[in-house]
Amino acid sequence: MNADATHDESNYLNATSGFKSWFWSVDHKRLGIMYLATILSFFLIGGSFAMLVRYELLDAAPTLSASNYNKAFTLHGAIMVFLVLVPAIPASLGNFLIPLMLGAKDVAFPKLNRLSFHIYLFGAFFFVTTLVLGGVDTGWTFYTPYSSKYGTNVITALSGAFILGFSSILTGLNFVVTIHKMRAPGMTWTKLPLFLWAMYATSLIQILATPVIAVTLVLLMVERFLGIGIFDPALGGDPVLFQHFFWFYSHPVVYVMILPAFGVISETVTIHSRKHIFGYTAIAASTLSIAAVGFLVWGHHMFLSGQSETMGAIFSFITFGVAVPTAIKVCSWIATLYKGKIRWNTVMMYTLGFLWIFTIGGLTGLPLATLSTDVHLHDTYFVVAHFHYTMMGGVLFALITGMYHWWPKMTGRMFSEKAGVPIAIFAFVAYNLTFIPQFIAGHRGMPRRYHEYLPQFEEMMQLSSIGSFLFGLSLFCVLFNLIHSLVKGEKAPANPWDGLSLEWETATPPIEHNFHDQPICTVGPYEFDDIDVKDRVAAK
Amino acid sequence: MGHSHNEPHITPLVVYFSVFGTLILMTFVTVAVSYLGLPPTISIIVAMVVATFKATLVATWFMHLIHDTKLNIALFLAALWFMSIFFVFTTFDMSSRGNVMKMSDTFGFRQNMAEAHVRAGTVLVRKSETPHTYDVSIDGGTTWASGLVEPEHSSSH
Amino acid sequence: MSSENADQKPYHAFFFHTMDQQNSSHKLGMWAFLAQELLFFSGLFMAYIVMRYWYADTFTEVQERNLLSIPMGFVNTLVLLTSSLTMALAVREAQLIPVVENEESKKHRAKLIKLLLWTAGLACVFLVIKYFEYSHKIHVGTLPGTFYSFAEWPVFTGSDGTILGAIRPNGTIDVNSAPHIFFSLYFVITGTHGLHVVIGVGVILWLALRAKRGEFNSEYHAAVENVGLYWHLVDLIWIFVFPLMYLVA
Repeated sequence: MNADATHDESNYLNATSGFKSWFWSVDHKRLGIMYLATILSFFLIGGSFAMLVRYELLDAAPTLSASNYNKAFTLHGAIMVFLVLVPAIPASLGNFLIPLMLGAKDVAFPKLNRLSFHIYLFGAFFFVTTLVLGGVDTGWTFYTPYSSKYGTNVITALSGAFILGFSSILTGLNFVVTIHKMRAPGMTWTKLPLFLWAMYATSLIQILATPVIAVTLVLLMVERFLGIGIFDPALGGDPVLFQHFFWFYSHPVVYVMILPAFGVISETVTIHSRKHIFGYTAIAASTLSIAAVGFLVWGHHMFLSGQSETMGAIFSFITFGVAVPTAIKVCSWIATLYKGKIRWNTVMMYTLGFLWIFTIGGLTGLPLATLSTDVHLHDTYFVVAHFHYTMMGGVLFALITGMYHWWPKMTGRMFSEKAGVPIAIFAFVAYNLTFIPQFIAGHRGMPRRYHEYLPQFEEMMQLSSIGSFLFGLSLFCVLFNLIHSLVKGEKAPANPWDGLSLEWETATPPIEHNFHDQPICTVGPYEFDDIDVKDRVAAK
Repeated sequence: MGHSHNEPHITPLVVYFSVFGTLILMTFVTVAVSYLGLPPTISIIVAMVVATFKATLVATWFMHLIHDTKLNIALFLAALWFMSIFFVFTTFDMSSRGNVMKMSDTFGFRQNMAEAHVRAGTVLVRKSETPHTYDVSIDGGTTWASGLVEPEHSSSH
Repeated sequence: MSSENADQKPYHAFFFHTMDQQNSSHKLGMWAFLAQELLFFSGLFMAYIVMRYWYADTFTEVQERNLLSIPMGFVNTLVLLTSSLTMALAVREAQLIPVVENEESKKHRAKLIKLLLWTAGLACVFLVIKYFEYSHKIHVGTLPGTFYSFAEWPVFTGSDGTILGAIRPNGTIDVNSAPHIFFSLYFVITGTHGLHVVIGVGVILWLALRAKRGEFNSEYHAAVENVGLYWHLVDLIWIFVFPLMYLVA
């Protein structure tokens, strides 16, 4: 790095100012920050609905009306899935980091990148409209014939999801091209940081699966307007066909949510234990194979839908196959930690939290993938707890991990470790208090999506509600911790964690076009064992 | 980015025109075959083979896949691969429903709906002369046809 | 800004090292876009396959009753194939424009514009023929789903809005027959395809405008190539739609 390139120079945050300079920016870093802020705002809205749901379930007797309760869980699910979880890591951290990690000046299509963001805002506008008009009550899954004939404000919600799909497709397209074509000299595929491998697989899924939800939603809208009869049994169609359409996208999309989370963890687990990642090739390969096999298992959401038993058995069998690459990853991360010089800092706390949470989420998927046990567990709180452990716990913990890990790079400020570590422990305990009781209640037969329930479930539901309120509180603490750093935090050095990937080689915060000179990739991103990092940085 | 090659590959005009000629010819063939009155299954197979041939010509020559990078070809093939998974799995579900347990599919549903109309008196059903089948009428009983709707509660009529 | 970018051509974006990198990126991006287009249409074909699997006799009967005009579909296929040829030739002209402006670049650019306008014109012919087909169907009532009102092949709609099936001449209901669903598929599939043609006309005219402004040469014509790819895909989909809808009995 040039000596003059370090201090008192304009960076991407202060190069220009004003609302317009942000809103019309094509800089991937600014877009990443704007995505992050928008996504977190919608997380707040989606989270409020979650709190409403948990408030309703505090006791067995109903407080909300059934229809209001239906709206609350639908809005919680739809906002969380379409507006938060799908773009959560790719659009925010992905946008910010991909060109930096590649040693490129921007993504391959910066204007398209901006367009994706504006499309995202447009789609979000439809969701807000849905809210203003009084909500929607079909469940985020929009199952027919209820959604095609009845339900409230289905059209605005469908339009929102349809539009957001395009944002997701274009982002994926951009990232695939960027990762293929814009790697720094010397950065071979085997020197690609694992976060980028994860983003690459994610982007492929976004390109190949998202159009199917687009066409599904179009058909559903036409079904509602014209009664075309493809999904409506009363007109001669098949509601189970709708579920095939829906899950052909919506199963792969859970990997759009979780693969980037795997990517974040692959980075933090190795940097903060000062050890080369265990099984680099295995993790990269398992990332791709999860993406590929993820397309073959959608029918496990439909075991009790009227799908044929034969097809159910096939789907069940393939679903077990997904467990293999996932287990390879978890084992590799744990092997990376083994005998490492672990830093017990905030980032590591969330990383460990992720490992615990995701492992539980993954393992509880197996009884759900088994045809016979799924008959008992289907549509109970067991399923709810399972997908919260994977989707919400997994993704959110990884997002927070990533936010803390790259916070110095993004903002130029260090956060308080003293507050960060206890908050992480608090969040972890509250999280488990929320969802472990749901496993117990679910396996005892508590059904999901009911606004009142039998008294024997009251204990577990109350524990879960209390846990969720505490978890909400802990997230506000995280937010406070991060915002506090902006005001009171120390100035961050360029490479606070002694990382080796290229994003740490540029200034903190990065300059407008990332690098003064084209960086050249000489060592792999995880070769901590072989090279003394401090010396290497000093030698530059 | 090491090697620099891409002077665009100029395809000779004769190639474009012969591909176009073949496409037109194949269109004539496929329409002509449809007038032969072949059995539906064979007819579909012929039409799809011709269409696939035409599509391959378009992709190979008009879309220049023949000179393109392996990566672009792979992306195209990946899309086709996941498309066919969608088709094959879903179709297999449709064709294997009810193999293990008898269950109500859309036809069952529509028959139930038809029975509801029977009960409401909008259609009439009577036992047919053939055993286990029923005659149905929707015009108040002047014309009848058999075997289309099998009601459970037709005794009242 | 570092000085290495100073001598770059105006169409060479600063974040690409070489035009080669830029062009191959644009092309890869387009193929990714085409991949998503294919998956989008796969949903429509999926619906077709399933409905055909259930209502095979309906599809045959549509054919026997001659409810879709084979001549119109046939002519439209020829029109679209021809437009694909003109588009391919347009791309070829763009490839031939020398980077340094001279008489030859003017000549090829003029040809490029002419071929683009031919392509857009043929696309409009396709749309006009489609318009006549649609208006005939609206006239006789072979419309999608609940709007289906074709007198010669009526369906029975219950008082609750349920469509039970076609009414046979002898007054019975055939629950295995669903002409209203066939026409749903017809309108949704050809409509979506038609929308792609309309968008195609727009982008082809935009290319013609840019070419008229003197843009594009053998080094910089990724936009022409990519619109070409898009247009061939629209053609490619029609190659399947035509036999599936009009021909296969």
